[in-house]
This record gives sequence, structure tokens and C-alpha cells, in this order.
Amino acid sequence: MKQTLTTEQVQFIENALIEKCDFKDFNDVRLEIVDHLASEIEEDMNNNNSDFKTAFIKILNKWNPLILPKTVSFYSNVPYMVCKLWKSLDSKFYYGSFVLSILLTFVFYKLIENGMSVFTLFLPIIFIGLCANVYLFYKKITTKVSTTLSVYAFKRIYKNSITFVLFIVLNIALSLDGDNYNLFPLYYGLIYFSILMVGRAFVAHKNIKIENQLLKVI
Amino acid sequence: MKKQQQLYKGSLNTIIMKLLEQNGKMYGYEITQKVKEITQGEMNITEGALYPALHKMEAEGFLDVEMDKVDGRIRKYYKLTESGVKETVSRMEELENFIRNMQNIVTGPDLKTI
Repeated sequence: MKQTLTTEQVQFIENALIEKCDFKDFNDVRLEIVDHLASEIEEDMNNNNSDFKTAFIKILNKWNPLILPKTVSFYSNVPYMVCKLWKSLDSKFYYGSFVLSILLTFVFYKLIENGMSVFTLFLPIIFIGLCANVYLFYKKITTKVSTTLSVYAFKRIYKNSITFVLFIVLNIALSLDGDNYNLFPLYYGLIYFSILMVGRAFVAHKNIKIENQLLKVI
Repeated sequence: MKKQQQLYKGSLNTIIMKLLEQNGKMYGYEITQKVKEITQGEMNITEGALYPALHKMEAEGFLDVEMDKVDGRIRKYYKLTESGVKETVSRMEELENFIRNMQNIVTGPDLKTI
């Protein structure tokens, strides 16, 4: 008769992922890996007539490079598997924001040089950025279960929000002063953080579907 | 075997999408087992390749997820979205062209005329 793992054995696997591999906050990926590990362990127990402990150690050793946090990593205490996804999100949102911000800052700077009002250009950017920021805080408060995407979306949210508001205040205060020609770095900062907020809000919105799926089964 | 794995590397996403197109919804372990079965053990998708590929395609909007409780644990199923279906068709065309071109190179014009 084909062996299947008991509830306690499945829980043992899940606890190992939480305690040894820092999967506590990444509910979606953790549950997925628990299922895959359990299936592989069952296969090993059935094919090789091994006991749960032997199969567990063998299978987990095979998975270690993917699930353990790397010692040297941009993200500390994050399983490698999650790091890989976050890196691909970073290349889209983080580095993308960087490039887009430089382009927009240059364009806006030229428009301001040609006489366009600073406020006409920046008010929509500030408004969109603030709306995205508010949405992020709203989702942070209302999110019931954390996932790979939600942890990414809310990462450094307070620090980024404070920096964003600081850029808004500085830009408004120094623009009112009249001389706009030295404000290039501040323009860049404002646009960058605004785009970053929008990107993170988009990720938080994408997370809704995953969260609903998790809440259905947890 | 290792050199063969290198050849399969570039087509992993296409393989996953094709399987999902044929089977509706599948979970990670099921995908690895299906590939092993179809290729009679010749191709082995490691978890290190599979899950990053699945999560990236999910983030790109090609895959949708569905979760269910099975055998006392929670299982995450993947299925193609509408854009995933279109992307699969496009990638399969590319792969078929690739196979055709490789076939032409491997067999050579002399053998073809026989």
C-alpha cells in the first residue's frame, strides 16, 4: 500500500522550513514547497522502503541550495528561491524606475528651462505618487496573510514614504524660492520615489489574487 | 546527460507552458513527474529551475494560480491565462522552427535527398 505522510509529518516539514530556512513570512511559497517536499519524500519512502526521517534528510539536502538564505546576498534572511523572484521584480520596478526617472527628469528640466511651470509638471507626479503611497499603507493594514509579493511590496515602506514626502516638501519649498536651476537632483528624487511607489502599489495589487487563494484554503 | 540538460535549458518555459496547455492545471511536482514520464527519464527538471520559472511566468501574467487542500496539505496549481495561451502558441512556433533548423543541420542536404 502506498505510504502517505501523516499530518504531523507534513507539519514537521513546514516547521523545518520556517525555523531553518526563514520561510515564515512567505506563506504562498512555503506551502508550495511543503507539498513538493512531502510528495518527494513519499516517493522515496515508497520506492526505496526508507523511513520518514531518512527520506526527509535526503530530500532536504537536495533542496538546500534553493531554500536556504545565501550568506552573501542583497536580501538578508530571505530564502534563495524568494531572492530570485525579488531580483526579477527589482530589474522591472527598481532599476526600471531608476532609468525612467532620469529620462523624465531630463525632459522636465528642459520643459522648465523653456518656461513651463514647475507645479504644472510635478503636481500630477506628486498626486499619483501619494495615491500609490496611500494605497500601499491601506494594503499593508488590510493584508491578512503575508506572501512573497506582499513582503516585497511593503519592504522599507516607512523609510521610502518619509523620503518621498521629504522630496515633495523640499521641491515645493525651493521651487517657491524662484531659482529652479539647482533642483535637478531633487526633481530626480521626487520622480524616482513616485514611480517606485506606483511600482510597489502594482505589486501589492497583484498580490490580492494570491492572498484570496490562500485565505480560501488556510 | 549533463550536456543534454544544457540543451534543454533554454526551452524550459516552453515545456512548462505546453504541458499546462495540454493538461489544464498542474502543480510543481506533477510537472516534474510528467516531464520525466514523457522523456522516459532523459529529462529531469530540477526544483531549482522549475519554481523560479513558474514564479516568473506567474509574475509576468502568463500563469494563474489556484490553491486546494489535498491529502492534508495545500497544493498550488498553475494554469495558463489568456495571454499565457497566446504566448505558448508563439513559443511553440519558435521551438518548432528551431527543431526544423537543427534537423536540417544535423541531417545535412545529402542525407535529405536520399
